[in-house]
Amino acid sequence: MPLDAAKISVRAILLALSLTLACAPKSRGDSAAVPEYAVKAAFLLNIAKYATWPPQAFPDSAAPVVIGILGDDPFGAVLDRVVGSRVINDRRVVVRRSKRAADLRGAHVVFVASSESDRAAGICASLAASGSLCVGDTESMAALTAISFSVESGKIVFSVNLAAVRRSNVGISSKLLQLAKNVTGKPVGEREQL
Amino acid sequence: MAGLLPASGAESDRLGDLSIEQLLDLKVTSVARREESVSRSPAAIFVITQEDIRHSGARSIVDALRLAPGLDVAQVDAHTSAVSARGFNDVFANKLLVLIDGRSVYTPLFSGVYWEVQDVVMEDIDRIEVIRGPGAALWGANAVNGVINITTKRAAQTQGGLLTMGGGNEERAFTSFRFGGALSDDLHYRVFAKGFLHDDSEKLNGGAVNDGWRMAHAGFRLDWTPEENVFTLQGDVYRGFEDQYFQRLRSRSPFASYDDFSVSQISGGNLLGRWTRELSGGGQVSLQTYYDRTNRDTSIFGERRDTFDVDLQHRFTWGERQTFVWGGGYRFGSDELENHFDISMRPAQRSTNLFNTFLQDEIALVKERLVLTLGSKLEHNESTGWELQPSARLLWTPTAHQSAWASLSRAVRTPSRAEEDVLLRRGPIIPANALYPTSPALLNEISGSRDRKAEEVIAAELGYRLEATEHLSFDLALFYSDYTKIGSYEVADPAIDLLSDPAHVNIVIKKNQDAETYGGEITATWLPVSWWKVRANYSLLYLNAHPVNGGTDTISERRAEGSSPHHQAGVFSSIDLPHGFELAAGLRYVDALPALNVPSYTALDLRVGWQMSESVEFSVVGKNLFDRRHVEFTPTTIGTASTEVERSIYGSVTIRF
Repeated sequence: MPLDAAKISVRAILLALSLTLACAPKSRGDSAAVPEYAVKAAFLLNIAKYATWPPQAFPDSAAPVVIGILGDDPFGAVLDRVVGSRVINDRRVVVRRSKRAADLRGAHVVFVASSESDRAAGICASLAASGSLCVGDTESMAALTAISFSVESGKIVFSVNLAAVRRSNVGISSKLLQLAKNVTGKPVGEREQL
Repeated sequence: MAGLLPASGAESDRLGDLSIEQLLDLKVTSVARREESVSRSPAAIFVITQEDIRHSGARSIVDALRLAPGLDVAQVDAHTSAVSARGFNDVFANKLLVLIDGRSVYTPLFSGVYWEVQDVVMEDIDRIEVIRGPGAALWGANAVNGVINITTKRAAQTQGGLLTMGGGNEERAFTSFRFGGALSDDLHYRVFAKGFLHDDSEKLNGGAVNDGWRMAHAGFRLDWTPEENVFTLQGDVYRGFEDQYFQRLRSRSPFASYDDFSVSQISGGNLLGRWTRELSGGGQVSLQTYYDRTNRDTSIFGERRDTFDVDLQHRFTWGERQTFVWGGGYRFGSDELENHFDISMRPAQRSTNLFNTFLQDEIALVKERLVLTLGSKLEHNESTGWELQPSARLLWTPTAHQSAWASLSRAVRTPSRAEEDVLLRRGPIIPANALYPTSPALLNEISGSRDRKAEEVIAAELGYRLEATEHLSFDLALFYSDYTKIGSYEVADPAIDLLSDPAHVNIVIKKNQDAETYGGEITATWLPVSWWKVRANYSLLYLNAHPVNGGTDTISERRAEGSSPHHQAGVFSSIDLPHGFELAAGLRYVDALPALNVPSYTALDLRVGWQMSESVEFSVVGKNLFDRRHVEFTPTTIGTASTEVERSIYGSVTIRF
């Protein structure tokens, strides 16, 4: 390879690097789009809205709807802000965070962060058994969690795994099914419900 | 990652009132960060994701590894690669530990990796973790300069059919087929088969080298996930043929060298079972066992190797602040070699037993802020006995946007089979000639020795990660490593043996070399808009080797110092265009290798992909577009051809059903 070409390409790399650095601060102002996790937070609220739990899932009439965050929390304060003082079916909504599935037993919706994706199979099985609706952060958990997010063309979409929903004994509205990108885990021989 | 999102909450306050339909319609920006588990690792780690692999159009694991900062990946000939981290690159590079789905794939023959037989369906890779620096505390011997951990997707993530077909000027033809299905809610499987034909590369001065190759590979994976258990059973078999050129020696007087063209046969298979159980309280226990067979039959050497491995790991939390991981394992290895005049090993059959146990404790000194990880592996091998490989790592996370880490570790590399038992004949140094037709030829004879010394490294590392803005992040690692007892070639006593037939110079493999390396790697990831991702990296390496203990091998010294690049840089960009088009570009600069006479080079790779419909995707990939051909590495120990990598272009279609 001729020396000149090497020099030019080193320059090209340096230029690209400096452009990367120079342009970076401007990207703060690029706010037509909304941060991914702010939108996912709003989705969690909506999912709780369109799900129904058996009466024993709430100890009393004042018991809140609990949204659990399992693993390394990607939301931070934004989730609390999105939830605000909103109510679902006259119940307050509270957020609980933990790195241990056992601490989230009894939570109504559990968001499984991608830090837990390696352990998601066991976590989701035990949470579903205790009546929590598991929501996976990424597509990679689609086979394990009742609902899973993915990003498509810069927008958040979600999939529903009916087999996992059934295991958790939580009902979900047909509206969620209609809007899902895809619905998997339909029992064999069951007719299309929509 | 608390606090990454805008602190002014007005916008997020309103989000809570939006309907699902409105949310589905919002454009989102993703933060320029790696996965949490990575950004909180007290080690120099980089993860190559499936998305990275797809964008790059990589057709092999080695190809994909070129995406990782700090790795030195060089193609030696069409089927041979040299891969290393932080120095000491060689065809027989021996300081990396490589795992595929938990199975160690480095060969104890030379403590390196036969890269060309490490193959998976590229679309089924979940991630490739590249850890630079010693990883011995948890992973064990041979993780001296790094660990490459390749993980494929679970069967449940590879449901349905996937057919890829394509071809081009170098990648003559390739196809892979995978099908995944569910036998019940918690029992998923996949089966796959793939094959390819690869063209010859070029000689240094043009003209084809005899090094084309072809391979067929098939396998399966079964995951059963009842309740908190995961049972995995997976296996694969492969068989390939490699056209090969060797410069060989006649085994009779006058021991002249000659060109040998042959076809090498490579084959193998493995079967792995793993049981993982989630325990209450966040613990996990995992038991894994595998059997692996590799066969390699070349005209200068034959090898059949069986490996049986069993490994147990248990993780649990203790109190509020501590997480323990402990475990142990046993590996039985057995080989059967076919010896030739050029290269042989005594004894021709050898079995080894390897025991190990490890303990790691992760202590939250200050919750969410300061984590200390202490760990060590204790291993027993038959060559050097007990080896303790401890490490201490400290991670400080002052804010949600940044973290800093420091580590100090010791790792060893146990001597390879070749270092102990080889007899390698090269030459002739002085051929018999017309002037003195009766003069005997003089050969080089290099023999291994069982000196019961393990190569050792003590490494200190520092790292810093910063999420400067929502769209821009940096990852910096600095290292200083001190190596002792590195392999060297020393003249034995007597230096020249004229009485035996053939007459030869006696050279013995000893450990009379030390070295220091220092340098660093920096990676910047930038997501200016949701559809554009740019990553740039730069790595710097200094290496000083020197003979010790009366060693005189300045050739190995110069080779170690001059066969890994001082500077490497790369910029990788991927853009999602409208109508399902994708455009990815990779620009790599690799510094010269003076010891091998390899000049620096810059390579440009491009990929254009078009997702025509949900099930059909086309792509065209161009590699090494800047020049018609360039050399990346030259062989040293074994006399195979020096080749150049050619510009290559290939197209492919992927159909999902």
